[in-house]
Amino acid sequence: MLGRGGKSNFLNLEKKMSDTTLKYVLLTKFMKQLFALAPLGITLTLLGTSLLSAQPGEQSYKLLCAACHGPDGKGVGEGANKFPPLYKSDWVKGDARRIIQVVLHGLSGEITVNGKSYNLAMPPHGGSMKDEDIANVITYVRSSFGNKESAVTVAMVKEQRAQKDNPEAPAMWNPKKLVKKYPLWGKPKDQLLIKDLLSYIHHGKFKTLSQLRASKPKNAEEEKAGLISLKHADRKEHFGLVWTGWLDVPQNGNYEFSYDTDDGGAVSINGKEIIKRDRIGGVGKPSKKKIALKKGRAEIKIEYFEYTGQEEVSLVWNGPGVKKVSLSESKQKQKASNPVILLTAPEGEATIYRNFIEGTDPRGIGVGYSEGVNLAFSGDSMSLDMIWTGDFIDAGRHWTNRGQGFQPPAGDDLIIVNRGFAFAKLDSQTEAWPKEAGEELKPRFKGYQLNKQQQPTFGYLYGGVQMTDQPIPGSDGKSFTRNLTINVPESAKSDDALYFRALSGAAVTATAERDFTFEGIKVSVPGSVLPPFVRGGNELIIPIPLKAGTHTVQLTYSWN
Amino acid sequence: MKTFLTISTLATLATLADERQAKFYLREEIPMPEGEVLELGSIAIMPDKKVAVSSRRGDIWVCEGAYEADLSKVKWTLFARGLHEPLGMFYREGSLYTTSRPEITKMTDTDGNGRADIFETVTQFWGIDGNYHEYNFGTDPDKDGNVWVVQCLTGSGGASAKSPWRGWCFRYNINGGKEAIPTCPGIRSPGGIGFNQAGDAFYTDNQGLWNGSSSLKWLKPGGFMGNPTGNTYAPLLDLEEPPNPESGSRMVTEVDKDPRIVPPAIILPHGKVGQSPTAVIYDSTEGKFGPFQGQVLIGEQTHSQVQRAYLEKVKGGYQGAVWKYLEDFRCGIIPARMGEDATLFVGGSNRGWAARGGKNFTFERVRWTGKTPFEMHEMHAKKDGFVITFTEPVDKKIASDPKSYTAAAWTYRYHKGYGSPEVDQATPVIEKASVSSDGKAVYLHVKGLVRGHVHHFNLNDVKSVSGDTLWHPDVYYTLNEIPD
Repeated sequence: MLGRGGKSNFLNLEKKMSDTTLKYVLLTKFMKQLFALAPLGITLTLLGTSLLSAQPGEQSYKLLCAACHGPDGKGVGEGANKFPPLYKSDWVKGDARRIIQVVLHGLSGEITVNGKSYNLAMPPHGGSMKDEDIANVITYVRSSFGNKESAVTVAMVKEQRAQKDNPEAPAMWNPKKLVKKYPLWGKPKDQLLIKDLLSYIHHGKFKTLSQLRASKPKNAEEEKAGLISLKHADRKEHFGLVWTGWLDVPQNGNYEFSYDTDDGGAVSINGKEIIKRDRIGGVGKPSKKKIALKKGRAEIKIEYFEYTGQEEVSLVWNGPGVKKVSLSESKQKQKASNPVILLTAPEGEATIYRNFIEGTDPRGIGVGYSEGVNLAFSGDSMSLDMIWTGDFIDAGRHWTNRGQGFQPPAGDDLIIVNRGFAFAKLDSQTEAWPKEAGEELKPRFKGYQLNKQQQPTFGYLYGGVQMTDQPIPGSDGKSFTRNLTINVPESAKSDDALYFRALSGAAVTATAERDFTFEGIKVSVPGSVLPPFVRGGNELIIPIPLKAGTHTVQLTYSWN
Repeated sequence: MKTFLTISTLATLATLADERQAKFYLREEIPMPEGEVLELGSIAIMPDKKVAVSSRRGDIWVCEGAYEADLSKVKWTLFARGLHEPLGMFYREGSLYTTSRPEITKMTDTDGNGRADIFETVTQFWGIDGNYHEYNFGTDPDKDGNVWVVQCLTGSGGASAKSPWRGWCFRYNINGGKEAIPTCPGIRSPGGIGFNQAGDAFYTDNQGLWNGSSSLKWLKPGGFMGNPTGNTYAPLLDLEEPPNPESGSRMVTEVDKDPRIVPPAIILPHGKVGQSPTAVIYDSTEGKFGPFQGQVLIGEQTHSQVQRAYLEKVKGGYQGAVWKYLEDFRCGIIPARMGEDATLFVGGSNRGWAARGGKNFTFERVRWTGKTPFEMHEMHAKKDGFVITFTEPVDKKIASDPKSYTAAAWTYRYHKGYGSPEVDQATPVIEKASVSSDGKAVYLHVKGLVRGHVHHFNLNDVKSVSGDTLWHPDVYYTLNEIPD
């Protein structure tokens, strides 16, 4: 059944090949079935005999190759089922030993043909075809389909058959190993990109090249893709990028560079500035310059600066052996903004996000509550820094690429509650709030404990005084209650008071003894040993006695 | 047409193993929890055959079944979310500890529901200023209970005044001892940290400013690792001023001027042996992972590999040889961990830094098939050459012919610029190759050894008695010192 089925299927297929109405996709499906059903050896043996006739190379091609590579050599199929073309192929051209090896032993694994990727197996034909047939069919392919390569002789095939290059023979070739042994014709495109490319980021309000050149880089990175890009800039305005690397010039000749920038920049080759765009302005009129280069290494330096507004960079080189190859990442890729990855707490729970959150310190801890309120607590200054409603945070910035920069809260009604240390000792109630923590009250973060709802209670120390700090979301989604315990051990007790700054940075208005308004929200202090007081119109201070024992403070924050 | 490759009828075409690796090591991907992005940053071994992993996104998951034959049945349990890029994790007495960007954290599940509920900050001694480059890699505790943390610079070459101790290695005691012990200045951009069999700490530092090529460095307490950027913090603890090497010099020249400078133990020649080294572990399996007990294994992110290194001590310092070892991982390797049953776990991510393999993140295991590869085993420096040992006896006729070897040597510029080309090329001459009587060692008598140079030997022609060629014929020895 297999033998007959294989043969008749194949013949049907050949017939259908001429039927232009047949969709290629059906054909490839058909080929899959054919190979799935028939032992490969048998099929190939059948194909390799008796049907050959007068023009051996062309006949063999039609019979053995065209089903996959197409009668026109352009490859059959679509998408993942696309067979690679032989038309002007960098696998066919040049050194014939590579293609002889492919025909003899087959290929299995992903390959790149003329810059495009394919991943369908090529069965070996060495067992089923005579050297003469192989020589003929390869000669045909090398002189057809836009290829103008020399003929392949029987002796060449014989020699390759004798090679023990493929360590796993008679298994198929690993394409990587084959290409390493017999490199593809011409220079692959990635050989024409910038080698050893480094990028240096500069920060500054650059309007001219000389300003950029006078500044020092903030950071240097290896850019392994070999393409310049604004993608890794850590900002959108007021920056410069300088890239250095080298180009492997394929041959002696004149090469044109085309550089476009928003705002300005320059290109230097072998230390000589060839393009200068010392200006503020947009893209659309690239600067072009043709220069003579020698085969081999050419140093390239590209400078770029962005003042404000749009930003863009593109660089293309063109010349002998280099067909308009872009040295910059595509505009889409450079511009691609981070995807939005909105974090939400599971129903009835809280979720924690520790990363760089705009408006708090680098050790900020974001907490989103499924009730629809959120906060950021600073693990640097032990302060509840921010509260907001609605969406929690978009992690897209930090979970894409290198994740640089600070991400602002995603939601609404953002309130900056306090910045800087939340507890201090004051010599008098009018003394300015300290910016630095003294040794005596050095704050230290101790971590957090999660309850069943994953809601944290933060723990921290100010000197020897231990605090726990538990925010509880209101079920209305418009408020927080915050319970603090302040544990003063014997060793830390004194007659002084410790001051807790609950609000700062905006006007605080007392509406009752323990009720205040702040940035449009209502803040109450229902529980504290000593009464809270407003000072300077923009600070809410709660004194805590430093008597040994545990003291508690309760606050509520409510949006209207 | 991929499908037809898997059918048994093709068995007649011999095995499809087109890589020699599969003969010696079985590499398997471990399925990840559905819908999660687990860009692995660290791996910890837990009791009861559980394996914990941390992700760059800040989650910790516990995997059960990672040692089983059928990996499709692995079970994952969420242990924690919301940490800040943890890059180091270990299990100890009921808790998992991680080293992350802001701190070392002890995490404990006190109610036994599988999820951590207490997150204790062990230390946050170092500063962070919001720069994404300020990575921290931490070890397991050493015998004194110290976790060694290497603190990457601010950016690739900065030391922000707001974030002290970037560019330093500190030890932090998790048993409540002295909190922070300044250990080594001079760090640039680590990719991983760990111990060798002797318990000495090593880390990988990536090519860049003051690093001509990437390398494996010995964190010799009090030693300077090469990059002076973080020196600026020394006065904060009244520490003596670390060395200030001269830019444009050579490592050996600067070491001779200031012996506090510790030269890289093993240089991983850029592009030749990877491009971005990461994890540092050693083979602790007593021969259950192949014949390389005690050797150091180094992760590689860009090339998605694991390299193998042999270290020896010469004149008080570590130096040695590196070979390529395991490859074809599905993504750039960041953590590696030798688990139970001689199972090597590796994981990785290509986010932000491209890597081979085609996947964006991966968790894999490797086991030895029991078949010993024909490889160079160890390499020892001698005053007039090297002794290379092999895993199998060599064909003596070939191995005793100096023409069966090619040799080259070079070093790198030691300077403040980013990376260095190979410079000061030299051509060592192999005058004689003497094979030991058991055929398992070759003494290469070399004229023209250069102190401080990487010495590269290619042994393409050398064969075992059974006719095998070497799985990895290239070796790179960093000759910091020539033995007397």
